[in-house]
Amino acid sequence: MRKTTRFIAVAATAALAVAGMSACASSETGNQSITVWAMQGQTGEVNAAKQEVAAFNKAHPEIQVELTFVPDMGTALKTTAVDKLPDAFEFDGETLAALVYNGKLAKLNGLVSDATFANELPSIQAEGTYSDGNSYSVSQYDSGLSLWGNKSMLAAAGVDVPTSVDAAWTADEFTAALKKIAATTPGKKAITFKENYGIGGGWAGYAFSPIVNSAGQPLVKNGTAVGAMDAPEVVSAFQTFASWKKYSDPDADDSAFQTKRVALAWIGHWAAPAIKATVGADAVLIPLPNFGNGSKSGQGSHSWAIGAKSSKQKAAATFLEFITQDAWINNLTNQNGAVPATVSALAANADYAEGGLLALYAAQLSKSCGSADPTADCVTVPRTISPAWPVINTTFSQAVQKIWDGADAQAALTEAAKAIDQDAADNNGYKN
Amino acid sequence: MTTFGSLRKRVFKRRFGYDQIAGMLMSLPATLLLVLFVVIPFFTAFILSFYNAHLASTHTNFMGWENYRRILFDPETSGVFWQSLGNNFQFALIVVPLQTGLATALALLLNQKIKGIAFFRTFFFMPVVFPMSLVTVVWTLFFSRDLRGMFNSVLHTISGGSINPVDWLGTPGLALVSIAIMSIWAGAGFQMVIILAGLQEIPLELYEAASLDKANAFQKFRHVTLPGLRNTLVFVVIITTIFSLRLFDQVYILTSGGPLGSTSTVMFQAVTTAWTQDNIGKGSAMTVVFVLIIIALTVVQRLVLRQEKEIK
Repeated sequence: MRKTTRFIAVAATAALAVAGMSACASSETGNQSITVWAMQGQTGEVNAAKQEVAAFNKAHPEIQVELTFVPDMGTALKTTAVDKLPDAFEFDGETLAALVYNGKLAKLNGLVSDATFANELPSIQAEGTYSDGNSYSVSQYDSGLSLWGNKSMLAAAGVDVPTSVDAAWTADEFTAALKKIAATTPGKKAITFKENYGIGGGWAGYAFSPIVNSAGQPLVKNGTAVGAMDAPEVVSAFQTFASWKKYSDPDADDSAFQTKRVALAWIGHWAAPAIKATVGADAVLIPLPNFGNGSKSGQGSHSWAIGAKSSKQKAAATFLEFITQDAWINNLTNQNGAVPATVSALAANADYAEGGLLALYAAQLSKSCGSADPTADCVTVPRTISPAWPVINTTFSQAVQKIWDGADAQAALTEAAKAIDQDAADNNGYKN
Repeated sequence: MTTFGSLRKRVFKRRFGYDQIAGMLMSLPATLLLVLFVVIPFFTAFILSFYNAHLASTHTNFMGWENYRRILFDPETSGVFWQSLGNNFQFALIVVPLQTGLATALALLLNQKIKGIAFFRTFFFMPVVFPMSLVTVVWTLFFSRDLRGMFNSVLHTISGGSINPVDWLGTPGLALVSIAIMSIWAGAGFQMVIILAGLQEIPLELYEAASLDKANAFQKFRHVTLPGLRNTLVFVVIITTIFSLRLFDQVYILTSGGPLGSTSTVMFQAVTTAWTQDNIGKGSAMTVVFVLIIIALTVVQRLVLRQEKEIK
């Protein structure tokens, strides 16, 4: 693992050196070329990126994009000095604050048009805004998180299915539903929590932080995790969560729901294409259970930014404006199943319209809590927009893993909260 | 009596003799690589361990011995390091004797002069050829806690359904043993090859002499093979100990250190602290402590298991 990371870092540096050389060759004005890094993601995403760049180069003969695919973008961006960054790059939106904190991203206000920002989903606007009030990223797609249900299996178990956020199961109703489903399912399991993703490896930071929010707390409140992440209502919610393990299929083959071993799946939008193809008309989206403060969900996915020291920020912004047009967003989301990140693209998509298969994702994302502490009325909560997020994410995820494995919820969450607060103190509260 | 002159001459000769220079030249590439990739990084880690440092490194501040205090002594944060270190030793205690024993047994079996022996040697060496991460991903399917897991399914079938599925990786106390079993399977081939080479070094005359003395197979093994393998086995034990203390890939992929920290290792903690949590200073401090422990251990082991220059 470590070797791989190191290899990728070296490879990325080498790729960068090549990209840097070619960038020097062109002049600042008139015809210029800009360097762009995109993530080496799924095949559909790679194809879409290639198609976008080809179309852009055709439409903008004065700007030529040189595209490089990077396998481990997180490490590449961490280990690349700011003056060696490409002009524009794709990155995981959850790392935005850390990148801004380290001076690697350019402010996009003024570079990208107000109309483009105004057309972004509120969740995307919130994710791209740092604590200084400026916007640093634009996105092509957002994520959707909820339960997938298998209608026939749920009906066989005699379970009524809530399909709107307001009608979400309470935690107790959810427990009762799991019990009924397990009783009527051959394998005696009811749900997959996608344990195969590795709860402690960061999956919990995205998938199970809505449990904290639904219990009425943010992960970190006013810069402090103690008293928020380990509040009594959160502890009790995670005790309930741990009690569901007996109904959980370990899902080692990554297809418990698709092969109809379980009637429920706690999973993100990326499974939608596979689920449509296997469960088909039986598939239905169900909101995550409500622990008292309303059903909550996650948001945020890959974003695009401009290097802080890029000398071609205008050209890079032209490229970002180009790829966030609805046509290119649709071209991409048709291939990777993600939620289009603009209001207009989402409105034009029948899947997300009232009664559409994925309508719940759109309804959830239209009520983003933004960077404020979650209230009962909002639904999707961004991953904490703070340079401390990598620490919050791993520490919280490991605590959830421990609770899942049988540890005392109070002890595990308090230990994690203290570690997060100690890190914040070490870094002087991450003030710039 | 040694005169001063002759002593100087001898020292001079020893230091600057042709053999010495040739030896130094020949060891130069290896020494250079060791300095570049082991010694320099170690001292870099030592310096970094006194800082609150991040990969991006725009915000770095001096912390003195604080990282060491937190890792080793702070009652609230030191638990995980000591638990990980304990797991490391527990793992080594399981793996070193079993893996060395298994490798010796395999080597003895594969040292026969029978047709197609090369096939069997390749076969048992094969797990070593595959990257550990690949092997581990495949074993996640074997270890699955439901009946779809291969081990559970096999046990269930041969016991006629009376053995219930075991949560191999989710039960504290069992998880580390499961990882040890996998590691032994994946790693024994390497030690086997070394021991096989050692076996072929033993002069056949010794076996012939033993036969003339009417020694049986076990006596030959006990009094010819084992003493002949002594130096090889010492090397194998030391290298297996170091390998098993370095345990990382299997843990990272199979359990992320769980359940309840029962498979966490020092390497796992150091890597996740430095890379995932972006806390290079604390991660570096862990590796510094760990290197010192491994060096101490290796020195002790070498003293106890002194290699012999000549075969008795």
